[in-house]
Amino acid sequence: MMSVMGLESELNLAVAGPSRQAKKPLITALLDQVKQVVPAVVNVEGSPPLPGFMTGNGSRIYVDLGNLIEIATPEVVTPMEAVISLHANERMLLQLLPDVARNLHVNPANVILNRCATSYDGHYRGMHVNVSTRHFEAGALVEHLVPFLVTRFYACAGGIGPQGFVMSHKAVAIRTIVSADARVNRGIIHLKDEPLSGSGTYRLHIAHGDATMATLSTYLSLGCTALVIRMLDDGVCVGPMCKLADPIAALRVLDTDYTWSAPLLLASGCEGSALDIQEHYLRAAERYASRKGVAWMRDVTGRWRTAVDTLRAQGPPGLARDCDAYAKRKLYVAYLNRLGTTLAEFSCWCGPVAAARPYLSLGPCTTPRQRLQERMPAVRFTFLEERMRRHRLAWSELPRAAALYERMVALDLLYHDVSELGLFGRLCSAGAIRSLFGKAEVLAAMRQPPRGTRAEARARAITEVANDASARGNWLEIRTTSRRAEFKDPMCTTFTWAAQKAK
Amino acid sequence: MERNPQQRVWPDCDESPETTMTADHDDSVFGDLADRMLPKSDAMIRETLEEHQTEAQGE
Repeated sequence: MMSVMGLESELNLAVAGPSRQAKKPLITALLDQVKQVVPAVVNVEGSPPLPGFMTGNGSRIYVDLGNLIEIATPEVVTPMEAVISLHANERMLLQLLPDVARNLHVNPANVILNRCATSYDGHYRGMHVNVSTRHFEAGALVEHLVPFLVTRFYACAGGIGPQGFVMSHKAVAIRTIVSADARVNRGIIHLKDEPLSGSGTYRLHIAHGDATMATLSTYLSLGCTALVIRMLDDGVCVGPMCKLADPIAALRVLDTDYTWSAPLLLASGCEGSALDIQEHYLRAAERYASRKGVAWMRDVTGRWRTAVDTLRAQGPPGLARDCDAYAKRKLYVAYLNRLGTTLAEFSCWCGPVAAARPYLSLGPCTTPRQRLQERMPAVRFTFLEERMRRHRLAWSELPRAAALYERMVALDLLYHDVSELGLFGRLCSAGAIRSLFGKAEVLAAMRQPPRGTRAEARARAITEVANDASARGNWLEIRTTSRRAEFKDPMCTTFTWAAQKAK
Repeated sequence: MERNPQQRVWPDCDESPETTMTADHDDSVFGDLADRMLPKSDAMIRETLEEHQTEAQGE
């Protein structure tokens, strides 16, 4: 049985300084230029359709709500193809960006394309995993998937929260176990029911997870998830024996458990660590991959095994060159050490700073305690005072700690710049973070679709009609005023044009 | 304030040459790059935070 998978990633175009008003025209102009690199037809998807294109490399690139640029990779059969395609589409946008910016009289250096699940302003964005199934929709797999999804340490981006350094950007935004809503009442399982295919298949839309930068993080986030879903769809029962007593509480615990070793209460009354739960799924996946003999499954289980064993044996430093949360933790530790402080000390300040920030003027301030007492609601001030006392923190240091907090948040946002000149790109160039693939694969995927799915056929159709102004398309069809082709079967690599009836 | 077009960093950031990691200065690469790329002034840090703000929830 074959199935397809893919990634969706929302990018924020951050524009600095006086050109900030140009953000929307920049996004529109940038997407309009996609045709300069790859054939494309206007995308008609959604109601009303969001502006964007279906491209000749098999992808969909469009402007999502909130003026975010969304890249949806082609349907692929291996996780590596999806990760490479994501990077290829980002590179295409980066390649177009300087000219587009200059045409709008914007300094290209002031424009940052950012792949991050948070903007630290209460808004969250997604990097979603899509996997097709034959037998099960998301609601039927809750018990089997939740322990796995909650404990994917390799899929965490790392960030800053009231607790200090946290493993995940999005964990704090998860409110419930199952939800049909991806914007406010976010769940671990997203009940989106949109198969994007003909009858007979489902599409599991995994919205829980961070937007990762490290290629291994993104690869394992998609690859392990796709493999577990494939096993379940193939009748392997895995997961119920490590059902968590309270998955949301477990997410909160894991947010500050960098070693993934804290005991979590299971529904059975036993305890197990997050690493034990990953081991449970991994062993089942290793047996399944060995039985199936599929190359990508073996590759995923091999890298998954290395990640689990490395975290168990070496702790967080062992994964600092491969997984974002651990790379970022190292970044914070190194930077704070230069400033003469430690991550532990900084973390003590994060709670009070998070509580006080909205009320604290960050200018010179001689009596922050008095100022906060005047401005904050009494209950919040009492809470803040208790935190300050518990950690023996000096009120006079609060403004300086708040400035450091902002500095650390900025460091996180700069890490997620997708350009080679961004912080993450420079860490890769310096050899401090490893990549699973090279520039050649990315450049090829910029123009070519992956093989073996309908993306290959759809891309051929797009290339044929890209110069026809009437051409429109979505995942399921490409049409002009005179002809149309359907792509209902995700695995079908051929297509035929049918004459379009005149209206 | 405008970023430096070549380095894409704020004018008060360091623009020292590229770093290559070796086993013995592994930790310093992280510290070096963080130090080099973060603006020095709090005002520019705040500008960095502002430029990343979004208008609405994604997803």
